Amino acid sequence: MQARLPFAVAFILIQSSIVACFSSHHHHFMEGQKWLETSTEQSNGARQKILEANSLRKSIALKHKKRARSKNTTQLAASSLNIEQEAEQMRLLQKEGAFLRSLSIESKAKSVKHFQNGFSDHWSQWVKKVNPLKLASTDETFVSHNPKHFSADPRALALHGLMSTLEREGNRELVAILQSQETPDDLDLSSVKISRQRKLVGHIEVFPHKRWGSDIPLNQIHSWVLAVADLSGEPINDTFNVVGHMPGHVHGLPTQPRVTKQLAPGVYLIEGIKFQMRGWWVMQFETERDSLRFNVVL
Amino acid sequence: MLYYRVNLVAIFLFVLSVKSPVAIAGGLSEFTNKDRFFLRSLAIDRLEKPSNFAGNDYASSLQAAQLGKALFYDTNLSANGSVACSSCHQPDKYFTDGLPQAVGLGKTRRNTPSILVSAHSPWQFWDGRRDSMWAQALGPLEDAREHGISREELVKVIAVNYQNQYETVFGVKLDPSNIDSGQVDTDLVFVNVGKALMAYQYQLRLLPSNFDKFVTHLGAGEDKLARAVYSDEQIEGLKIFVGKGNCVSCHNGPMLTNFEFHNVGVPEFDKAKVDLGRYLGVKQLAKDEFTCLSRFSSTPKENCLEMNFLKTDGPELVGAFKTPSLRNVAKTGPYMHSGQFNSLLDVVNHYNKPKPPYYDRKQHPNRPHFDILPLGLTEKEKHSLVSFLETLTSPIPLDDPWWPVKNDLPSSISVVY
Repeated sequence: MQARLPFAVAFILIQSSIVACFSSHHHHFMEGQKWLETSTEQSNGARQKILEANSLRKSIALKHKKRARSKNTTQLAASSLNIEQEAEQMRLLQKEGAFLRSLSIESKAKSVKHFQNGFSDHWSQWVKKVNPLKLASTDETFVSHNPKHFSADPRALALHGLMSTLEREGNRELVAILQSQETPDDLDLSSVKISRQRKLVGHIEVFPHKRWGSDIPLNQIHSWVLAVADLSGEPINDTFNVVGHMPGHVHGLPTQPRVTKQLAPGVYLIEGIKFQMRGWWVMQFETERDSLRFNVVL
Repeated sequence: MLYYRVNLVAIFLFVLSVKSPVAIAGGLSEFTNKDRFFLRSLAIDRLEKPSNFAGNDYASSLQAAQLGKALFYDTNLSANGSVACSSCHQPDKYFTDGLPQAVGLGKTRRNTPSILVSAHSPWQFWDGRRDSMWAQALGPLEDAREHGISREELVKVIAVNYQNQYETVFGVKLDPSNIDSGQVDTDLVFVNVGKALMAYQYQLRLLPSNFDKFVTHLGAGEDKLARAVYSDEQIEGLKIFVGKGNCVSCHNGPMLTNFEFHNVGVPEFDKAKVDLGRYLGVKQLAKDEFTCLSRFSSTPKENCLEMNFLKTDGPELVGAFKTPSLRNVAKTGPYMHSGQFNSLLDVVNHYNKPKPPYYDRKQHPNRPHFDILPLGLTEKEKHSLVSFLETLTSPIPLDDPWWPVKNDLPSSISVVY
């Protein structure tokens, strides 16, 4: 009897740790979901305020027009006061809108943080690194492709003195031409992202390799791990289409990567990824119902 | 000072030049350590041995290379006995022919590339329609405009003229009498010819050019020695190459190419039948019988990453061609995929003020990409750049048996090895 006691204790401990682990990851996802809802409400609130501010702006503009036509001085004074009041109200609404928008962004960041913890908790075998993906340090200091590319803006052509060439060729349509790629300062590089329809949460990381570890190698075909769950933390089993491109350039990846294996429920191996140049890349994983979009800057 | 001209283009170019990895002006002291490190990475001695030989187990075999050399100069490997690989890849012209488009039995549409560096490229031909050098070598043999010889005829030539050499390298005795009866794996012998040709080409090595000497001295901090190699004009040209001209963004690494495909708006060679470049090349490659995935390659299929994840579609593939190596560029004109430009100055003029690619709605699947920006180089800068490009020439080795110059070209079969 006594000999069995340690086993029973151990059994209970294991049980409880499993429960703790299970509930912990669900707890993280619940928290994440809560903050995401808060973020959505705040974002909707912000949009409402901005819309109201916009309609006030239109009304003010209309009053300005009327005022310009009017010659009656008392009417003019009243109208000035009215415009002033509406303008004040508009500024207030804009301020409130901006404030709500910033709150919404903060709430979303909090939700992502919780989802991150949820992923690390539940898929600890696969999710080891929740930091933004970065380029492996390398001796290759060069970029491997002209990074100053493409738009289809005819003004750009005129700017470069190419319009005459086009006219000579009898070819007046838009021509894809070069534009420098500007990476926005506030670009969200998180390895955990909420899907477009807000139905899914995904995480990406580089599948570890003996040469480049868990960083991204330049000009090498390599693999990623993609983990996907719904907002409650249930793994998602679906077919994912992989699409990559560089914003501001008209070109995509030099290879055609795809999901080659499901490593665990909701965890996918993506093989065949290759980046041939530095800069801002967008990687999208699309299912029929939703799409996950990650930014990577190399 | 062009940079300070109040002119949008100049401002734009100024921003670009600041962003580029090496933006420098003035003498050697202005080359920072980072610049020196970067430039040193372009020297020929930094060329790595290919990590695998594209599924060719004979690639580094000297016996295979000797057989390959004999085959390379043998005009019997053609329909009428007049065309050898060396007819277009002439050793004294750095393995090119000096023509705008290659001429074998007929005239082709494309310019003969120098083969001196091709073993290092993941893609072969201007459009990358083959994925290894041994598979590439098979293309011209069967092409009616080049050697125009059939597989069966070729195998007979090997069985009759190279029986012993073939057996030594590949361990199989070819019996000419068995060929017609179908007892010989014709495709396999055909492939082995390609593998021997690759083994030969792999033996061709480049000696250091003045460029290599310059960057090696510069990298070691030996500025005086570096100066002795390069004129002021060439130094200026190098600075344009890595700076304002932004040439190095595609022409990089020791081979001075990224081996990728781009459309740089070169004039269309034949507007009635436009060249779709990589767009068609990749489609041919996808169903090619001699790729890394074929039974002829010794690479395990799961390691054929480029083929397994081949990008077969995309608007940027239309009219795109492989970035050529700039090694020996001054000796390998005319230039571009169909020899559209005669001189390096013509090429530089094109990049300086490129025309958008020709577009014909009826022939192109989509409007071609345009991968380059006007450079805004002055006349002086253009000439400096050309002067720099001339330093990329390696001397032809005088005593290298693999690189025979015209006077002592081996006659077809009588090569002793």
